[in-house]
Amino acid sequence: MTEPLLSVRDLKTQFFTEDGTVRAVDGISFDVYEGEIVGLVGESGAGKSVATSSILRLVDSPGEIVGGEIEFKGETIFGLEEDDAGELRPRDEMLSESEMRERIRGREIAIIFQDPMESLNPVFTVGGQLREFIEINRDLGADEAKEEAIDMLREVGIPAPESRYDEYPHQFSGGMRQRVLIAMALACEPDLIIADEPTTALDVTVEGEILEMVTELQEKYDTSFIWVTHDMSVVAEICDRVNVMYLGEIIEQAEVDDLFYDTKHPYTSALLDSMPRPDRTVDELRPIQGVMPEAINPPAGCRFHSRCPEAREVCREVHPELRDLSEEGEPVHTAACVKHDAFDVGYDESRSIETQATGGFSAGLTETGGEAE
Amino acid sequence: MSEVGPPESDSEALLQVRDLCKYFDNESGLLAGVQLDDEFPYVSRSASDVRAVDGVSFDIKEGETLGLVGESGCGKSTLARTVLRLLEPTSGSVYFQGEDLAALSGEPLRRKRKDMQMIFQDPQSSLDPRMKVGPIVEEPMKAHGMLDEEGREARAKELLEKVGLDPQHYNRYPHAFSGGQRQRVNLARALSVNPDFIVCDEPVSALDVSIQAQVLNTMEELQEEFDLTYLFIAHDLSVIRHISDRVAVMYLGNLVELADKEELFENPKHPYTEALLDAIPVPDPRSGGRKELLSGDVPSPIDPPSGCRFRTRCPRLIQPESYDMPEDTWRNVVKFQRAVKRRAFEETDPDALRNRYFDGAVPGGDAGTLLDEALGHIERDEWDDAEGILTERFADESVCATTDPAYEVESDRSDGRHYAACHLRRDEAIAAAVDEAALDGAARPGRPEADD
Repeated sequence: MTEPLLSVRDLKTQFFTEDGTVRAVDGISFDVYEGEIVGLVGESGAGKSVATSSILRLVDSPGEIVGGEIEFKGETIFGLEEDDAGELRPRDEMLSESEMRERIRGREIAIIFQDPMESLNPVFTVGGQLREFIEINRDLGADEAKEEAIDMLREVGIPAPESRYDEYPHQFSGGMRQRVLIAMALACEPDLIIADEPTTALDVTVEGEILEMVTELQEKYDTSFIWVTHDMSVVAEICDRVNVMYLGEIIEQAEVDDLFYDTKHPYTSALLDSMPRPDRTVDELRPIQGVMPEAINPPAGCRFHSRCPEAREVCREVHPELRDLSEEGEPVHTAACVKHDAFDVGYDESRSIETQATGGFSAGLTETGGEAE
Repeated sequence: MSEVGPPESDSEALLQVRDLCKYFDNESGLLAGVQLDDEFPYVSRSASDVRAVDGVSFDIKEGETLGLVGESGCGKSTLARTVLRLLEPTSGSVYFQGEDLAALSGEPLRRKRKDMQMIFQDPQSSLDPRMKVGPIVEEPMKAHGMLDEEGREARAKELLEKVGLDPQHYNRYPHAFSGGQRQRVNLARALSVNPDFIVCDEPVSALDVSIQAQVLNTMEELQEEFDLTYLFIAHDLSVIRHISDRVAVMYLGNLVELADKEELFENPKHPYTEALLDAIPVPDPRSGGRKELLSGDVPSPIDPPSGCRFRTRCPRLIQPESYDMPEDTWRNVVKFQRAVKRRAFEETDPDALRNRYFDGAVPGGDAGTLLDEALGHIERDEWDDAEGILTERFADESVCATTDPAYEVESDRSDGRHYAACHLRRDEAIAAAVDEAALDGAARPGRPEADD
């Protein structure tokens, strides 16, 4: 395979709070190649958004990227090395803050957020904001930038772009606003667009339109996407490869078809089983028991063992790393679950343990929130 | 108590909604809607109502779950609130256990509330952060004078256990619970007064999928145990398909289709339902994508389209009887009319447009003449005139624009009734009516859900 466009290795982002260190992203690695849509899927609190902000180095205090490497087109977005005293410090070739701001964000890597209303400034016209963005990032004159902005609006399917150019965000519907943000992201023809739940707030019909449009534009511009979502249906429709996240870790990586038809991790199967289906009637849903534990103090061993229907004693002790489980000649399919033979830690001999999944709902109640008083 | 439901209604139905309308004033205040003219009397007042719910009728039988779906802004929540009399209906009636809620007020209405409860979408803002969970659950009982203090506490604890929480949590504040658990507290509160009917307004939309499934399962168990009847509102068709017995589809203040769940999902009869079902992404990478997408935006409920409200976006708008174009040509005319209306292109050259939209097959006769006229206007940059011709002479002449549709067709997959507000179903509906030897039942506008 060719060199990946973006490569993330063992990325760790932590938040230092009064209650302790929140390990929001805890050692994730994945690649994005040119022209593909990579999904990042998980429940809320899995660390999806923190992972994407880390890629753009947008993590704010009390959060901090504490380890790992992010390479983008041969440049180092983040990387640490040890100095003489054994302290970690940023490597010399790591891009400076101003380089990130002037060269990477927006120009090379663009981001689309979930809530289009909050990403647009309500007191400026939509066209003005788009024009300003193009003017700054592409060094165009005001008139040229305006022309370009109108072209972009037309490109994303906004009718009568000349007259809508002078309208304010509140005059646009939710779907239209999201189209404007996509226009903004595409305006500088970046190599990578990070889409953070861009269709979650939209109606299904509008969501459908946007997904179709993104697929078309992606083919046309050959842009790569990281598509962050909690919705497996969207993943099935749009992604080429998928990373499933649970509690700060990636627990399964596969091509989209393999993920749905040859699921290797119990969490992924549980997630798929718990969803009601639009295309057939499911008599009884099989929910994942309990709730996701806090990232401050994640369970030892496999982090999913407390909710896993297949958990055994060994799951409490061994922390599984992602391992490639694909057969020779097949595309890479990795999963972090010791039930697979490749791990060979004695899963088969180990005894089943009582978990929330096996011990009923009430067992999970004390997991969240802690004591109120 | 003296009031009874409409004559042909199902006497077993717990709730009968008849022709319910709820309009909102678009503007309020002293000078609302005042306009200045340059002629006498110089000042005029125009009232413009937002017709959020406009002539909706349905029944809910005891013990069933009626799912209500629609896009945001279609009036789902307004309908729910009007049914519960949280909003005063503009017209129409709501019979709950045979009594017209729309005619009740004051103390009798307040007492009636004991039997109807509601669960809201946002589990965070529907619980008072300064009250402990126990008192939250007890509050409705207090308001309705149920039990004494000790009895209420005992019942609250029992209910917490029933909804899958630990009774020990009686003294905790809402912030100590996760979203799913808070929604369970909401359930316990709704159940506390032993209601017959619960309106659930998007109760699981704010929850993660895995938690969503837990709460849905609990709701089903409780329904069984307490004989509850649900009106379940959601925009997520997968959730609706899972939980409902019957499903109503709403568009811009109207019901467009109502049928048993299997029937509606497998055999939809209204183009809007079809489009909605087609638009949902399926969690299966091999499902093969969607056929066609709806284009255009939902029109404003201030001035909704005449006849069928979906006609401005309908992919299957019926050709007016005065024309005789082949189906393909008519589709192209509709496409062109909508494109002009949205100003979706800038081309003004008639030949180029003919090529782009009609691919050589330009309609002949009257239609052709009108089209040429419209193209002429576009060439002279008179977009409004072109839009006027195309809209008035084509789109507005269709039967979809002139007559309100309301048909009952035969169900394919169940014994229940199948209501579809689409003129395409006229022949089927008449056939179904003949079958039942009830000719008068072919088209009953305004009475879609008249159970015999």
